[in-house]
Amino acid sequence: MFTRKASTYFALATIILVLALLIPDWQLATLVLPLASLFFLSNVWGLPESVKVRLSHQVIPNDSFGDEDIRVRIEISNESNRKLGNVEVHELIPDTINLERGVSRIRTQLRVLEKLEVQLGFPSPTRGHYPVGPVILRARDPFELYLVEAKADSEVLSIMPRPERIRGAELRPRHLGPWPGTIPARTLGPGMEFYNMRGYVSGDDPKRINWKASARHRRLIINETEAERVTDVMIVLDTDVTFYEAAEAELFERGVRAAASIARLLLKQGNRVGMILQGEERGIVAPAFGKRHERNILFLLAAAMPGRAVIPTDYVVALLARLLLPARAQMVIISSLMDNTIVGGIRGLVTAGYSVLVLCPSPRDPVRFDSESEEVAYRMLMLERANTLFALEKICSVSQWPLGVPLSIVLSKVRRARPMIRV
Amino acid sequence: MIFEIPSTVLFGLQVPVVLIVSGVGLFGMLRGEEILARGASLSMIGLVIGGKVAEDVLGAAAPDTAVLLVQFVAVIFFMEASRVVLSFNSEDRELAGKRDEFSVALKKRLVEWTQGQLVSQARIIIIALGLSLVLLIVGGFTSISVNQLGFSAGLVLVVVVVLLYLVTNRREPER
Repeated sequence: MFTRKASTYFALATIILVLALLIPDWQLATLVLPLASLFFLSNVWGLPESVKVRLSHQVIPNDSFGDEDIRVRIEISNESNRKLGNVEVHELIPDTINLERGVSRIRTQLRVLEKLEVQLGFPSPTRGHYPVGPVILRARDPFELYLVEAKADSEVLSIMPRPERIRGAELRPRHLGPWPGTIPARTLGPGMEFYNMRGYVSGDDPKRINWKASARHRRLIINETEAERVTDVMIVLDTDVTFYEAAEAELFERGVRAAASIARLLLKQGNRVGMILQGEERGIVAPAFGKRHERNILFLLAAAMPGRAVIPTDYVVALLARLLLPARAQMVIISSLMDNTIVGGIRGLVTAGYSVLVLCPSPRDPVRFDSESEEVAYRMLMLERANTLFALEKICSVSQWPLGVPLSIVLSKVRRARPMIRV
Repeated sequence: MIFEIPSTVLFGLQVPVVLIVSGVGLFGMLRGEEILARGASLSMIGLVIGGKVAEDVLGAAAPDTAVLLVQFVAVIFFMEASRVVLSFNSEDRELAGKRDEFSVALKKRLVEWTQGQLVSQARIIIIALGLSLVLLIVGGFTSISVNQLGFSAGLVLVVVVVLLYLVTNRREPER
């Protein structure tokens, strides 16, 4: 194709011709000759009529936990039958990324059948999704009057939150799946916890004989264990932390890390786990099993951004829980409790038989306040939050997570609440 | 070049005009400001064409056609070469301080590209100038009357069509 520059030169030639006609002056008109020659020579010699290039790029790795350097490998090959003297390769990289190796705009020559590999490198950015590309190759003649363009689609670099190794909370939902897991099922079956004793019958495993009880009863007695099963869990991450301002980012990142860690733990234990992002940006991953599903959840969490919820949290939680989860399954809600309407939603869920655990990251107190009114506002906010916590503690398990305390310790202290719901 | 323009056209300010144009161009090149460098080049093209028109209007002595062509082609060449040099400077700045294998290879390629671009531009512009002079000599053998406006306009139309063909032949417009 011809470029805007070619059009500009053409316009210049036309202006010169018209001026030459108006004056009239043939000497002026002769200035068109070098321009016409330039067009002709650039077209014929500058760039082959058929430019064949192969272009690809790859982000390595395209998902990461943010602890390794990222590379972008660009491969270009000239499959034309002539050398390309003026090739520009432009990899579109977000402004937030600073390249440590290579540059995003490369100018080079490509000999016939030459294959060129270029690598760009940068340290891993913070959590999020980053579009890398598209990469655009532009082959031009030396005067850039003509242009052939090739393009490779953009890829997405996902920096996911790294899940922490945590111990489990005492989850006791009433809905249990048929597969073995870690949640006590209140029935006999294979498990770790003692449940009952009975007389030995032929075929029982001799390892399960309780010798002390057998001696006492003068017959063989065996121990029976409580079955442990899996359940369905929906994790809800409330991204509304906007009232905290100074502590906002830290509070939000703790919530994201907690969601990732709990999801990994529950999936590792064999549970079916889903994820809901509730805030300005919403997202859902339907409950499923397995390692690949963990990636889906982490991929969703990578995109999480703090922001005020447009739709009330209680409505979203109640609606989606009923749509995506079987009755009486487990809900884990991670929320800084800025929206006190959440209490109504959770009350509805508990009434419907769902087991609910609320994990509440506590904000760090500001070091100083700019004004007295700001301090009063903060105290009022904290009071309101304390009221919400108090209301929630009556109906479900609530766990406050102060700054600096490992999540494992917080979760290990979770005990099943005895709901007190006034109907 | 500017000193050949009749002094009345530039109100006798040839020296300041030379200083301003060259100063702006030099500043643009040194600071890597493409707009300034290109602006200086475009003003030179404007001065070449405007100077020629002014000479005709004021009835001043016409310069040699070959000299006029060389001046015009030289301005175009330096304008295009400055773009190449500015691109080189910009990318060289980005690569400065990067010592990894790929950055070093890219820098080497950038130098090769710059040399190749300047050589190719010089080659094409010299051939274009030579071709223009040859066409000028060939045109000199034919005698065409320019007194009739209709004929001249027709001739201009033919030239524009030829130019359009040269621009668009084998190429589509940029999207």
